[in-house]
Amino acid sequence: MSDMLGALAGMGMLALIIVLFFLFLTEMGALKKETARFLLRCAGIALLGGIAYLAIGALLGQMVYGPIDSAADYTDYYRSAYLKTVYERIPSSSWYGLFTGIYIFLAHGFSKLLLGQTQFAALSLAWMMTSGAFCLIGYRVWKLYGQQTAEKALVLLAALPGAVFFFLPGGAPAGLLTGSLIFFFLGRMLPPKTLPDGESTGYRIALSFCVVLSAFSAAMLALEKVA
Amino acid sequence: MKKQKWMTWAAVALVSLGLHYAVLILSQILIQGSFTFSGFIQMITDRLTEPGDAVRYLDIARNGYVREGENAINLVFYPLYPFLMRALSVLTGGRLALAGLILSQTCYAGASVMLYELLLLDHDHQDAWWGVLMLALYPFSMFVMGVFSEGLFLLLSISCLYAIRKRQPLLTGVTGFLAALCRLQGMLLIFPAMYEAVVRHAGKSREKWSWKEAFVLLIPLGFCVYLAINYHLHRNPFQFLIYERDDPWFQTSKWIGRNIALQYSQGHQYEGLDWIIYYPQIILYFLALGTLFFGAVRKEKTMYLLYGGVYLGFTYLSGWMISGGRYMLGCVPLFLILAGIRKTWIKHMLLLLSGVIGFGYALLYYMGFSIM
Repeated sequence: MSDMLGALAGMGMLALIIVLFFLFLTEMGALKKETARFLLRCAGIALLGGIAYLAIGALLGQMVYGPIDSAADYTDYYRSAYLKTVYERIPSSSWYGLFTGIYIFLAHGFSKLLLGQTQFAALSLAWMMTSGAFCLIGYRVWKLYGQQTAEKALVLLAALPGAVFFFLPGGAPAGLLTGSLIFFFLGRMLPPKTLPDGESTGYRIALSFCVVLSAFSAAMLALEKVA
Repeated sequence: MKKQKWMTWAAVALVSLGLHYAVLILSQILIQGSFTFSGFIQMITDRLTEPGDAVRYLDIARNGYVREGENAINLVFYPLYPFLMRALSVLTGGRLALAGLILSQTCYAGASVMLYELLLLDHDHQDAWWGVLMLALYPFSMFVMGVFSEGLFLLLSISCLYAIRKRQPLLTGVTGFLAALCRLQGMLLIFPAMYEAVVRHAGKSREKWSWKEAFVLLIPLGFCVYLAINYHLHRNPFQFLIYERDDPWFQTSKWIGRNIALQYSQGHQYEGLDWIIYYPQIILYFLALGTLFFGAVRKEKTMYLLYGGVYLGFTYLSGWMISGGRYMLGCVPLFLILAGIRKTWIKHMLLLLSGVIGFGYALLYYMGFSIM
């Protein structure tokens, strides 16, 4: 419970800093208010996804492995050899593949900024990278296909099978952010298209199945069924 | 108009102080069974001039900072409040404790008036009154009545925010300078001051820079004066950090999340202090954070949100905090945001909750519990 409270407190402060940064950009005229509101919504979709995966990890972890306080801390909600390796390498900032290596390097620096809180830095960096990626993807899709399409796309992205990895330390958030940067810049060359508002039945069905499969992959990770 | 203004100010000051005296008197009746003047004076002496930091401030006012001995650690307390106490004691016949009480309560009354005026810049007089009452009934506001620096800090920080809003860089610099000499958090006033300056001159409106804007740099200069005192005494401008790390404070800077987790654990460990110190600090953190987010949604002035966020973050970086409730009294943006709540019934409920809980904590404090 104490670690959970601490994580919430830390995340809350980081979220406030990001909100203040957005407000600063709008007051400087660097960002329109409408754009700032939309980007915050994109980040909000990402954060909600992260909270959902954290919740299922906590639920399964608690029921299967015992009360939360008996686990080392919330980073133990999801267990795999890969995650263990990532956490071990952050303090020394040792390389481990391209995207994982980039991630470890950034997490090492961020943990110094957070006065040595390595595990919290690792987790919050993953969330920040994913939120940033969601903002970039959301913005480009908005400009190409409209706001509603962008929001639907982001919800689908957060619900993709395996999306839990976007919210865990490792190469996935770094890879997602890199991909979103490429899409953001190259996407300008795509022709914009007006898509109809509203949701199709196909989207709803696809989203529902994605949600179930995504929860399944998160559960596999929480129950240590993944290497 | 002027007479009406003075009358309003007097009403604000009297109501703010009056509420605290009412709490004091009612607490005395509950503790001692009846009201007696001697008992009242004794309670003020015992609980407002002797516990906690009060003793340290009195010692600094009496003897100044010392290089050696057990009182050398008084260096961690900033100089402005004890200096003013010493100066005022000329009028109180040398009685430092009385000077401290008068100083604190006068400053608190002044802070209430300044808060009222600051709120009037954006709200009507009813909302301004709400802000004043929320400050008066904040759960740990009883410290403004005693020999503590809270009242003075409130007056200076609110005045600084007012000066920023009124675009008076010299007044901003002077009040911020004094606030930085009063408490470490005073230095944080540079954030809203710089923010407003940058947005005004480099933002959408692109106003011309004036040389007078440089006065805001007086704010960090106040902190530099304190560092100079450290250097003068110990040849180390950061000597106060060494004292803070040791007994009895054990203060270091740790990330907020780690400190909140620690406070929860300490609440379990020290059962007598769980709801006195630790859990209220945790609750206050989340309430303050929530209020700042609420302010962002309600389009409150960004400089207030910035100051509030920096103040909150800085305060909760303390690794062994036991006075969080008292420190958060100085987070003025919270009262500015709460005053702007539109739904009257929510304001009423907040005031009721804050007032009832505040009375409870004040009573416990006057009974002798270790609320710091």
